[in-house]
Amino acid sequence: MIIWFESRIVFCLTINYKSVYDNRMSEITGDKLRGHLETMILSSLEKGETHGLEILRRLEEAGCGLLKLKEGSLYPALYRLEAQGLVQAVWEEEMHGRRGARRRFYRLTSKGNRALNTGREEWVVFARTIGGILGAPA
Amino acid sequence: MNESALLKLKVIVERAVRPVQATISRKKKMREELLANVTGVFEDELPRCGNEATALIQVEKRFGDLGELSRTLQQSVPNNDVFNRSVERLIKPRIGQSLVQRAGLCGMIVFAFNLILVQPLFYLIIVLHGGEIGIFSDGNWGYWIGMPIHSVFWGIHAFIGTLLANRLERLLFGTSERSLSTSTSFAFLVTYLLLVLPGAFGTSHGMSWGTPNLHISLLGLSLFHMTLIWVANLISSEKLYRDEWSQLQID
Repeated sequence: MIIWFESRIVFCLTINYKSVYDNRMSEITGDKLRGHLETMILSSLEKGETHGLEILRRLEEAGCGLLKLKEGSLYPALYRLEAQGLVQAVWEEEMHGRRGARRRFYRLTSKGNRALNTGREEWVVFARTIGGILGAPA
Repeated sequence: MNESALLKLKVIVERAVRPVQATISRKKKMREELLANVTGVFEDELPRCGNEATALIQVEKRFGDLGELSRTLQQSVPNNDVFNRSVERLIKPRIGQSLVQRAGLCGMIVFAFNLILVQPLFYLIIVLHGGEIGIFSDGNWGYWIGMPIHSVFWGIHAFIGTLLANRLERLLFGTSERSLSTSTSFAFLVTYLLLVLPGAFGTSHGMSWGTPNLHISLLGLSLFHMTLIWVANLISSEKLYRDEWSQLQID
């Protein structure tokens, strides 16, 4: 776990250094995220159940500011995950003084956990393969 | 957040959700969840932007292309929703449709559902096990013949139930016709129709109201009243919800 955090810090610092000083790193948006969004959502829910906006915050935070999601795109992905039984959703019972609509809290199911592990394995293979082709090993 | 900002946020959500072909309950879920999201984003942006107009622009920007969102929301609707939506379309109130017409339609649907699905199932059970439970045996054909009449019976009940629930909705939860005294008179009338008339009919056919029968009838009647109030409440909240979202100008 500690090694994972350290590697994340190093990764974020490297990315930020590159984006600020090199100005060549572009934001990760739309098409580049296609196919990975659902696994990323599952990964963000590993930290515990939460609502859509918080999932977005967690993803953007984990993406070190480079990940730019159009917020609306999260919900169709969540509905697909829910239909597949990978996440479970419940409406919040108390508004805690907030105005407006109720939020839905999403929780990772055991099936979702398995899908996340599979997604991670697939990503490793994908990154290794493409990295090998591009001459930039992951 | 003030009402006008909330209204503008609702318009953003409605632009994405209204084109989606899905059941009312699914769209309700989408609307509420997306509204919670845009409200949260608005509250984030307001202190940063300093004024509501700029914060609203930021909300729209962060939300993404609404046409694209409608398309992806549509893709997330499962296939079984098509069947549910066609059933919903049958019973959904239409513009210009009177209450009697709606109640008639409801009665016809219940009648058809009973005749096509429920009665054949009963027939099947009777054919397979009728002998064991004493129905469909020699000299007991009355049950078998009387069954289609049950479909008519349920159809009529659905018709009357729809009329009563809608009337009660106006009396208990309506904005213009709300009246407790009329609701009470209405409850007495329903009680009279359901308890006294069948009782009189039963007595004239040699049946009598013993204490156990009366208790069962009173219990059934209370349940009926509670169900009627519950349905009236459902109709009322559905109406409020429909008015709240369908009247938004999204163009």
